Amino acid sequence: MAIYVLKRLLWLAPVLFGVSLVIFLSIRLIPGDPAEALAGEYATPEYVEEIRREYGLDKPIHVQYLVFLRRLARGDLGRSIRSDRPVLDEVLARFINTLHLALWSMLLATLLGLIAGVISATRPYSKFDYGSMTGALLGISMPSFWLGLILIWFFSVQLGWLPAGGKGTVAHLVMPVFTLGATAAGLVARMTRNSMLEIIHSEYIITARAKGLADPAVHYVHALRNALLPVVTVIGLQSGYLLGGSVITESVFAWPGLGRLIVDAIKLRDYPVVQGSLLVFALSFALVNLAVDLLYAVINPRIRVGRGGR
Amino acid sequence: MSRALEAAAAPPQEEAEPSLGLWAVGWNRLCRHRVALAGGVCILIFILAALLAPLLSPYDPLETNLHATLKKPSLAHWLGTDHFGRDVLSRIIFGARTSLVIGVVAVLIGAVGGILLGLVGGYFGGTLDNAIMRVVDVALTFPRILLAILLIAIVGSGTQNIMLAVGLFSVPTFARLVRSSVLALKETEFVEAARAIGNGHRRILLHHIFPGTLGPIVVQSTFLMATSIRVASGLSFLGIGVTPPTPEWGAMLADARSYMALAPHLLTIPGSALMMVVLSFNLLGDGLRDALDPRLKRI
Repeated sequence: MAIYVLKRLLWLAPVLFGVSLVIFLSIRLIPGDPAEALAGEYATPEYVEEIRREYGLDKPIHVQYLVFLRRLARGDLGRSIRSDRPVLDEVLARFINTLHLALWSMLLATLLGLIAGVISATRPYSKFDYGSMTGALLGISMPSFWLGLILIWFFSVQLGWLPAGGKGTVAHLVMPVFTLGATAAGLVARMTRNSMLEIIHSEYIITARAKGLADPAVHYVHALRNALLPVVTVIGLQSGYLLGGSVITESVFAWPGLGRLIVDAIKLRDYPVVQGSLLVFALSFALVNLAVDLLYAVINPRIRVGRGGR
Repeated sequence: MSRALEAAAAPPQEEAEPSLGLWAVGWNRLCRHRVALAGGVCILIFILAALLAPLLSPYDPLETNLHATLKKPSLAHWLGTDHFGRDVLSRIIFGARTSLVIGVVAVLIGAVGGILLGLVGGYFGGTLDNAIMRVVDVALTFPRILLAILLIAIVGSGTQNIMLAVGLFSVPTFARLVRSSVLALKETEFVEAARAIGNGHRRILLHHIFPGTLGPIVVQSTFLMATSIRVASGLSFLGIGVTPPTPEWGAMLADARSYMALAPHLLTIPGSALMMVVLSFNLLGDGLRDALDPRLKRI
């Protein structure tokens, strides 16, 4: 297990190197002078010169990369062109909001998906099964921005029950959480159903039933535990994708998170903020993936004993 | 573990029905897959609409009419008009063209790049293969939409850049897929035989290995059409996709948002079109996977 954890931690190094390189290069690939891009359209020549010196943009490219890394290590991501605040402060404040949304969505998706999947598997081809699997298919296929708009139209415009956007009360959370979690919920439900059905027809379950155990005991004690393994994989993969999906959901519901920040920053050509947001997004993906892999190793002994890792 | 996966992804080595090729068998199986066929028919309608857009649309999709804005569906405008009085049906039909072109070009970019990297990396192995695969691994860690946004931040928005952004990030998916097929195929006897009679690397790769990787490529392309169309319209919805007057379903939805109380049809129609297309490609992909995967011999 220790070796597996160590291996997995080491894998983080090339990922972080790649991420830092891509973000470093991205600003230099923008047509024009990177110092002007970082200083903003309306910057004074003096400020452009200051940026050039600060980032070492007059030096060779490998020196520039080292300067970039040194600043990164100090948590210095530059200043926002629009607000003139340090990018790190702005990005972190927004990231907490995104995390908030993503965690609730994951929780909802897991609960909804597991419950629907288990009931569907224990009553295959029933009305509930067809209903929930149709719902799951819709959840997976509906583009999230459309789902979000439909919800706003129905619950805010027609019924006036829920606020159409913004952040504050629990009511503000309902629609964004559902919108962001819908795809994951659908995938978890389908995976749980398939996995449960497969296990229910396996020999040891038939044995359990043959020795006289009641259905609920068989389903929830014997089958569910083993059926959960592939489900955990789906949940893990989805938690990374939820962070990506936040870009669209946050824009639909005017949720002040990192996803919306990055879209706004691109439109305003606020490159320091774009860089900073991408960096925080990338770091969180890398960490979520790490956490999921480690969790998976805890649940599935085959990984940590066998030739684990990638 | 990865070896097992690679072996599992390998294309056929022996066919059960010697008289029919893989594609003929696949076609027969696909015809029996009703849901996939329905998806295929939907896609056909979508393609026809895109090809015949100028003939089918009753109005010019860009023509504004400020005397007839936000009209509900009627005989004059079957699907109503938008906030500039533009005909929604015409915009939906031309929107099919926009989405299809973006989807096809994006998948082509991804496929060509990925196939080249996968073939070369898988066949020759070594340091080059290692380097390619590490980059692919890192790229696959991140959601496509975020990578597309990164590229758009650099090159700016617009239809061509969307194709590039969405397509470029399908390259890793194809590269990994092709590589795993190549790894399995290059150990087969027929490749060994081809080598034994003195074929060069290029001939072996193109004539003996590449055809074997086509099945999984077709399946993956179908799924990636769905993803590319969805991501591209998402970017347009965010306002960093196609440039405004261009008819595009995601951009239409972004406009609809301000008028949803007055004209809900502007919300339901483009969304339904988008969902139908995405769903159809996914269903067809499911069917193709069952049909072209010889491991599943449930006939």
